[in-house]
Amino acid sequence: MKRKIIWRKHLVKRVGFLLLGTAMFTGSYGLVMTGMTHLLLAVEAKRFGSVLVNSVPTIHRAMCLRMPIDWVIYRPEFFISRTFGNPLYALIFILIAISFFVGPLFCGWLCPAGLTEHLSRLMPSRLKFSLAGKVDPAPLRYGFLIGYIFVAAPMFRGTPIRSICCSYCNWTWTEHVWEAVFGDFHGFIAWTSAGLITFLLWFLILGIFMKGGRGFCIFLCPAGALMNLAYFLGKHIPFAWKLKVEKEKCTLCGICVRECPTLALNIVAKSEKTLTINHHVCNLCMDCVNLCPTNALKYGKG
Amino acid sequence: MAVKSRAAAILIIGVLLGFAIPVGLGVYHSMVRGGESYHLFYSFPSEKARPIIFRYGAGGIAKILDPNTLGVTISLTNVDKKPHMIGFKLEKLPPNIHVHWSGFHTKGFNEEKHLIERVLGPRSRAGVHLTFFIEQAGDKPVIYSGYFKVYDLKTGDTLLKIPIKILNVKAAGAEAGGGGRR
Repeated sequence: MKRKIIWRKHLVKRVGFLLLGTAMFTGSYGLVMTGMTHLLLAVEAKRFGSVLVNSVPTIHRAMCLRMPIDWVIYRPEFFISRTFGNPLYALIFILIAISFFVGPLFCGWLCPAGLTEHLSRLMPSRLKFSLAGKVDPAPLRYGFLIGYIFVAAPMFRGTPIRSICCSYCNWTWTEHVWEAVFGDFHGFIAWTSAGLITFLLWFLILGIFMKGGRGFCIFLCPAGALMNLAYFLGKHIPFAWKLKVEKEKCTLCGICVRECPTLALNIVAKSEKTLTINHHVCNLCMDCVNLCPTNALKYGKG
Repeated sequence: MAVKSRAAAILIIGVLLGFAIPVGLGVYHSMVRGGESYHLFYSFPSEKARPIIFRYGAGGIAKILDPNTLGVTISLTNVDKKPHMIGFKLEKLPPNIHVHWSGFHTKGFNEEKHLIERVLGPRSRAGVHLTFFIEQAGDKPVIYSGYFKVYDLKTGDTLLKIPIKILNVKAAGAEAGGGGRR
């Protein structure tokens, strides 16, 4: 009973944070975008004023991975001026840097696209498929990241292949969905086929119809892949925060494996059976910490 | 040993599959983009502009639901040393095409008058999203051939003139074509 209450409180907290993340980052009215715009205008009105007054930054600009990749290849001066000079375009790098020390907390707690996880909870189980314990998402995820960077290569310059990334953006779609909720269907007019495929993958197939609802995040989100890569590298340093399992407490009951929305937990048979954490996909949602009947999973330093 | 090679095979297949998704989707996107929508970048003032060429009827799966709309987002940068207040015009628009105008990440866009109510300083950016609704494309190979004009609201000077063509690929004798860069 006590465990159930803890679990429910945890779920309410997570939905609350994801809604907060939506208010902070979605569209041009996100609190972070608006706040940072005003801050920049106040601090460096002369330098940024004319740019920011008219141009409305949105989540997919602030967190677009692709524009910085393009800048590095084609316009290095833009990379310097926009990523270092204007934090509105550098948010993604700040999040990756944070992930190195504390893990991808943004993905688990604030990313607006992650609300699909909780919509998925509302779907009846018989309509959903589960990949728990069956698939390791890491190879596909990093393969996708490599492909995502590859299509920016100079040999594709001038071809529409490289423009796929705008169509292929769940953050853009999150904005469109929220605009539609408030009566503005403009984002759905003249959508592209690639965009439609993204929507189907993100929201439906790998979203609400997949148990856990985080299929897009763990297979196809390049930003998430970079944050997890940073988490994986950072976990080796002693003062970084990470998710850990206390093997002596773990009874291998498998609840966490079944419920993990990112397929990050597995029971592996080596010399003896052990619970393993895949830091390449774990988004630190802490569902496992709150579900574990023996408190064997912990998030902490060291 | 067998377990290790199986794990290595799964790893390689996973990476290749993941790699194939953005590349494959990019190839598909490049095949159908002319029949769906563009996002193009231009600077003004400029004497020359790459034409935008749509291929009506050549869209992908999205056009099953929405066959008669085409969209273009035009992002503009003021490369002049002085500020401009700008307005927009679509010239030679036939009556069978309705256009919905909206600002793209731009404050102060007036959807009715097709202008930006704020001054665009040097290096400033603005964006316009045009959605073309085509009624009765008919049999003509060229549905629309005109210009998207950016002009200075104070002086009336033309700052940029982008040729736009909508070709009907289903009609006999339609020209082949593509758009500008993203």
